[in-house]
Amino acid sequence: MSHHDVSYLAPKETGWKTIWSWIFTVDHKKIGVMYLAAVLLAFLLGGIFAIALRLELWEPVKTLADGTVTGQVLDLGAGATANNWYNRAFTLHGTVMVFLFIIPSIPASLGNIFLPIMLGAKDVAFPKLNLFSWYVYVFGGLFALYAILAGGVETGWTFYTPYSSTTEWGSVTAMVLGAFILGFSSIFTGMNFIATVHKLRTPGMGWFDMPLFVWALYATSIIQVLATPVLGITLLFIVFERMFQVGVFDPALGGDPVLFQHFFWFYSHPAVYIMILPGFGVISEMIAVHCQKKLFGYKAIAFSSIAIAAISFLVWGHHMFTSETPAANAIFSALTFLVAIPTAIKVFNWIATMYKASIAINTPMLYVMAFLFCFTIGGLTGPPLATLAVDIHLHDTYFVVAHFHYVMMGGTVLAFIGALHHWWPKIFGKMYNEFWGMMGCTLVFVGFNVTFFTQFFLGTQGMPRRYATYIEEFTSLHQISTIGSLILALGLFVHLGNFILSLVSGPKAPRNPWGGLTFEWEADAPPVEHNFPKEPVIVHGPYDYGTVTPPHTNPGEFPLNDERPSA
Amino acid sequence: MTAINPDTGGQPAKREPWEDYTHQHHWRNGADEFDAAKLGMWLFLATEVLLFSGFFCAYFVFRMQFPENWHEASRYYLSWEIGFANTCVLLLSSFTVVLAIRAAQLGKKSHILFWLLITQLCAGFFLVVKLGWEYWPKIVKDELPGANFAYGERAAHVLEHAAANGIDQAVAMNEVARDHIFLSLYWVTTATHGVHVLVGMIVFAWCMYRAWRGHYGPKNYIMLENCGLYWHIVDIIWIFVFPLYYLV
Amino acid sequence: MSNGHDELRQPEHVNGHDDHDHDHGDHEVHVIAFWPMFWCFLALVVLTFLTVWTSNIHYIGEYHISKNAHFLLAIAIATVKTVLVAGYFMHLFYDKLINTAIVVACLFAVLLFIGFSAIDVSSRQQVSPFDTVEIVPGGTEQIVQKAIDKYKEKKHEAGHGTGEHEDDHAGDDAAGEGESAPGAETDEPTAPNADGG
Repeated sequence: MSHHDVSYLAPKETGWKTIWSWIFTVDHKKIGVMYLAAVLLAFLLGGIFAIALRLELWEPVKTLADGTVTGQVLDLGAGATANNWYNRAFTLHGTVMVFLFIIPSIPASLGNIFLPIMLGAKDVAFPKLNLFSWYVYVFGGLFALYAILAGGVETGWTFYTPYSSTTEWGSVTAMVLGAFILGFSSIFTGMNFIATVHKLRTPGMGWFDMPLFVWALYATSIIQVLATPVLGITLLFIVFERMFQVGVFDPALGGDPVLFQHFFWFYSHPAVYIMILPGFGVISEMIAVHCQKKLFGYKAIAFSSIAIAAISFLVWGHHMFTSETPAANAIFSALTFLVAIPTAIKVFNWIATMYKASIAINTPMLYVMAFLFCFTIGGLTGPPLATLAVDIHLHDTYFVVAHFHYVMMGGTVLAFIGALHHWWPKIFGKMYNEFWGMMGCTLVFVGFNVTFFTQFFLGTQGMPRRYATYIEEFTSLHQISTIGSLILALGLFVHLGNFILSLVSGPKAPRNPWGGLTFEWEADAPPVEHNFPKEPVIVHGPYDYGTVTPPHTNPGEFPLNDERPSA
Repeated sequence: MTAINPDTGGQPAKREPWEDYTHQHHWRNGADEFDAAKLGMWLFLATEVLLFSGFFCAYFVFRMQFPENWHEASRYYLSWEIGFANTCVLLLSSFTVVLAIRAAQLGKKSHILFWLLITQLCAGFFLVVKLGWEYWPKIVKDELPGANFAYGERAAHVLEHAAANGIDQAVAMNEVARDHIFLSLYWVTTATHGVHVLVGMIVFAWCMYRAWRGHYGPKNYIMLENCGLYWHIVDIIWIFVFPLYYLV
Repeated sequence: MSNGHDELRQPEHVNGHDDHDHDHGDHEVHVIAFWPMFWCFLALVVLTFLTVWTSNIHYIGEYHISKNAHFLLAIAIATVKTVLVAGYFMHLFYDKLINTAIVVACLFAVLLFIGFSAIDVSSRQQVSPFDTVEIVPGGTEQIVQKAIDKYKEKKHEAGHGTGEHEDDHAGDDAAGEGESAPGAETDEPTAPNADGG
């Protein structure tokens, strides 16, 4: 096992052996790359549904004389009306994006690759479990794909009962089982990360010597382990209801549908922090590196991650302001405001870090700034929604849709794409084209804001979510939003092309192109099979930019196409 | 099974695999590996507890609303004797698992196998009682959840009483209206628990095979330890299921 | 069951890897002591008896014990049993603190989950009569109607005096499971007018 000088990506002697080495790999980097490919595919799939939705909403849908509703795009044939297709499309958009894309996006791909390297470890704590979790993910994904092909689901990604437990429409059971299985994949990743952080830090690395990405992943993993099982039992209950008419959530059998909402949101609210916390982590990394400055308030950022993880379990009721009792409403509303505190601490610290720093203008940093802009909007529209009286008005409108997308897409997805650029040279050993990267970022930023900012207006004017039809007055705002979504899609395809081009013909990346100080920049690009030729020694903190010269940044290593001097 | 005493055939001088056990390459030492495996198992157990907490949450919420109905349903449909026997058997099996781990720590192969066998017998007893004396009679009596659910003699008594006293049938039946939910929860909770017992049996069968091959000893017993932890959590869940369903 | 092989492996053999392994940081074996475990097991059985016994006591002197008191007592005993199992059998009393921390975090989540759900459901009574009834009627009526139908059907069958109806039902059950929505086959006066659902 002494592949101390061969890149983990290097092919084996024969093609079959190479394929074999990927299928049965226990190398966290390969598993991370496989996760990356899988989540990007899911992102594409979910994106297709999103564009279909936006195109459908280009014009208010007409009602014909016979009462049938026709759609522009989604009216795909006899039998199903546009409404059915629209319901399926938004359900699948939500389900695919949430369960297949955004939850595993940063932790399972970038986290898998970089968590052990940042800790100076050879691998995660349980490598086989790591591979298993990838296969579980693929298996769950196939279940979801089957559900899509076998008729789709139109319950919404929230699977509210009794509709989901009684509808004859589509293949709810398959989709629910798929999400159930995907939950296990998420749990295994979380277990692995927690054990790795506890037991595989390089000797001498204390908790406060860890990079903040690791802190964020740790907090994420706590939520994954503690919340996901409840999703499992919730979905299992739906399956029981459908197969055996258990009736716990079905009022026709004496059950309680609001109880389902408690079950569901007990997981699904913490889940939004599973989605965003890793985004916070990569933003912390990127800001420090591209500003070449010690992060302001390291401990505050670290502890705020843990605080968010803890608070995330206290606030799920704010999704149910229109269905639960006033007593519960009051408690949950008050608790919800707590989340704003640690989140704001992070944003202030990031901005304080950028203050008077020498900010590099490149794709990752552009994404950081886009993130700060969009996430702040998303964050600040949260407190109005946590306010009971306002939320009763805005509940289930496009205001909520816009808020959600500003934190998830404007937060996590922008951070994810930025981090992908940031670590691309390290993962694949190739540079991407900076011009097209920045071009793509600009398009994504503009497209995103055009798409979703208009939806705040739609929401406050009363446009409800999940409707295929709307009144004529909303037409222009919907059309602006649709144009924005096309710009957004264009930007994403620019990135895709740029990445493919980089893999095919990108120049070889230096080991430390941005001048980072964390362990991954000491490793080769791409890293060797066990990450480091010999165990790295911790001699400085992760962000000591004032006092330490980053490794591998002497000019001799730099001209991009240069071969690395053979030591 | 020959498993009880395989030592008799072997030569005392033979080196068992556990004696050569070394930690996997990505660990710095065996202690870290051991602690991490245990930590991972505890995290998994936390997920198990949270999974079952869904059943308990539903239980509490409905019990809080319909305590009388719950009490009567429990007394009518379930017999505490069976639950009690099964509780004792599970407690015994937990104890024998502890002894099996102790035997591994002492390097006594035959003792590991013996205690695991007792554990298996207990688990088998539990499942047989569950299926034969609880599930089967209920299936026969139409006490499965769903449209066919029969309210049994309980409903008959209530309706006869109502007829005799001129009470509206529908009003009278409110008394048994939540039987269906109670039994539904009983079914899904105990069936999920039963599946966990079954999984435990399979896992312990594998452990017995590994023990027979000599993989467990003072230097390597983490797998046995982790399976034991799993078994104890299954036991703990039953410790709550028993009073909540059979005695309340 | 002991078969005399113990002397092959002396106690010092157990700790015998001390000689060369300690400096490599190998896992140290702390052999589980037998008697604490045995007493723990006995205590668990006694507590199980206690739960059963107390559940059948309905009066202490004149004082009536409420169902809620029984309920709380049963939970309390189960909690004590759990502490015993977790502390002794699962070694939490001797083990690394982090494992206990995981348990505490897990219990924190469970309590929040059950507690907040219970707060919501229990406060329904205090909201307003209008809100409180909304959940109950549709479902209950249907269920009740079904039960009455079932009861009449059974009585009817019993009137014919055959003993085979049990088998019929078992068969029904297997066939009807899964595909039919609740109420699909009770096409009599099931009252679809019930407004809840």
